[in-house]
Amino acid sequence: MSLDDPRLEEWLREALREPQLPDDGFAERVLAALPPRGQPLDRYRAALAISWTASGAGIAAALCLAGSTDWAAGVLARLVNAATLLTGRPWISFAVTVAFVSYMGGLYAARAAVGSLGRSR
Amino acid sequence: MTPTDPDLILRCLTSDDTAAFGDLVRRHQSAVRGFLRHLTRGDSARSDDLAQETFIRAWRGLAGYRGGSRFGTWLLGIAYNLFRNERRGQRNDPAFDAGNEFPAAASTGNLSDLRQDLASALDRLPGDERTALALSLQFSLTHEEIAATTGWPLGTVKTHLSRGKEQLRGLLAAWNPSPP
Repeated sequence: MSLDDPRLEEWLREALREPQLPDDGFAERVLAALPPRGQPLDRYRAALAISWTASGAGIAAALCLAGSTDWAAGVLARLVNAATLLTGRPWISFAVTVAFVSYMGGLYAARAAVGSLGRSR
Repeated sequence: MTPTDPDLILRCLTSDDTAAFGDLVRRHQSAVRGFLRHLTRGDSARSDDLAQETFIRAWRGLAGYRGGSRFGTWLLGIAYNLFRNERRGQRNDPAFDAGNEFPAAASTGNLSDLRQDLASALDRLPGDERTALALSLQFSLTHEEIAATTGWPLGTVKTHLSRGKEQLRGLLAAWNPSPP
């Protein structure tokens, strides 16, 4: 005869039952070792935001040097077209688009980081 | 009135209240340490170190807890991941993967013999199957919660549970199924 499921489970529950472990100062040791919450993450976010923003600023400077006042879409499109025509390499369009999207992402990260730092104070 | 886990978590998040986190630690330490002792096969020093790291990680990542599962289940998931990562670093953990020698089951009908044989049989199971059985029967987690805790697919959870029970049936075959 084989052990049926409910009987086996009942025996197992009994075998696995353990008394509540006493704290014995465990919680105090944990609390003493707690780092300030969120600080490393905030620093990481801030560093990320600064690097993204710096790369974005580079792109913005390049756009300004193109001598146009037509900001963003129009300038970007003309720049991409010109680069593609000059170099004959369509991947430049892709690279510039990625850079632009990254720049927008950088702005978003910067805003999030500033908000996060503000909350942690 | 005793504050609930979500109340305490909210206090931790809004005002970095370490006293509230201390209450959470005291409330869940037994389950986390017990689970880790189970995984480490009774190594209390190692399991307490892992348990401490579990709560520190929980404190750091508290903002990432979305409340989709019980807080205790979330903690067990962190504990299991820490244990798994530590085990990976050690390559082989014979204490987890292979059980002790299992003495021949004695069918004397004695309850303490049965308990001893059950404990030995559990020790002899492969680590993943033992873990699945412990989470299901000791901590009363559902299959979905076990999947969330361990990162296994739901089908794998069911396989580990049914395989574990099947092996136990074989190991305990000498016992008469009549009530002990």
